[in-house]
Amino acid sequence: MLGLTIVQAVELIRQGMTTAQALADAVRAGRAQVTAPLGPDEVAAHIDAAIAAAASAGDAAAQRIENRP
Amino acid sequence: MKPLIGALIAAIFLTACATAAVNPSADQTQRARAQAVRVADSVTTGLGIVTQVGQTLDTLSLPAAQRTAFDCAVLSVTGTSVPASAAVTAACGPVPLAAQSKLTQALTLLKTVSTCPSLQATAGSVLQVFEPLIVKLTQSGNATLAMAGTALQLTVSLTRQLAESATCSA
Repeated sequence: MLGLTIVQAVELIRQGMTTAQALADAVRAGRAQVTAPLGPDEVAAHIDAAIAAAASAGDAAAQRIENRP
Repeated sequence: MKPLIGALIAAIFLTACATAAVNPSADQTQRARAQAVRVADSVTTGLGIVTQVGQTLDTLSLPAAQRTAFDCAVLSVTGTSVPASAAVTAACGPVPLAAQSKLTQALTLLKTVSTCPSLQATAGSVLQVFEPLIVKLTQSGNATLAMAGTALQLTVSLTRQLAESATCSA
């Protein structure tokens, strides 16, 4: 009725809970003192991972469009 | 003599303030970097939601035009790692290369932040890029997409609050 299977609904709920947990952890970590110094390379590694995830999401979207009749 | 001493003290004070503004303390740089990492990780999480939606998109009972509109919205944010094909360009219009996309450019700027104000401004630019996608999902009229849109909105809102949190400016 809602256009999704139980497996899809469960997966989305699981992903939502994982997201909420990750964000709660991030908020707690943000309140704590920074203990380990972060170098620019470490920051860049996290940002490069986000950039790679963006390119991957874009490539997948392009592929879906190409595969549609 | 007194005005001269006063002017000297004022000059020293102003120089100290200007130096602090130009050269952030090591602690301030660390806090800004830690927040930049969290913003980047949250973007990765948000893109995980977008990827998850993409994987289920073609199984949903949605008109093909609506599915393509979502993919075009993703592409306008992310771009593609190789030049878009004729089919993609015909469906979406010009698609940027990933390296030139708004998201990549905003994320690249995030690498250079060393103060909280610059972090907050740059994080705002990064998160702003997701807004059209959130609107597309939450207003799709489809329960699955709306749920994903809410999850993405939650991720973006909490990340924005995190970037603006008092911890960074302490």
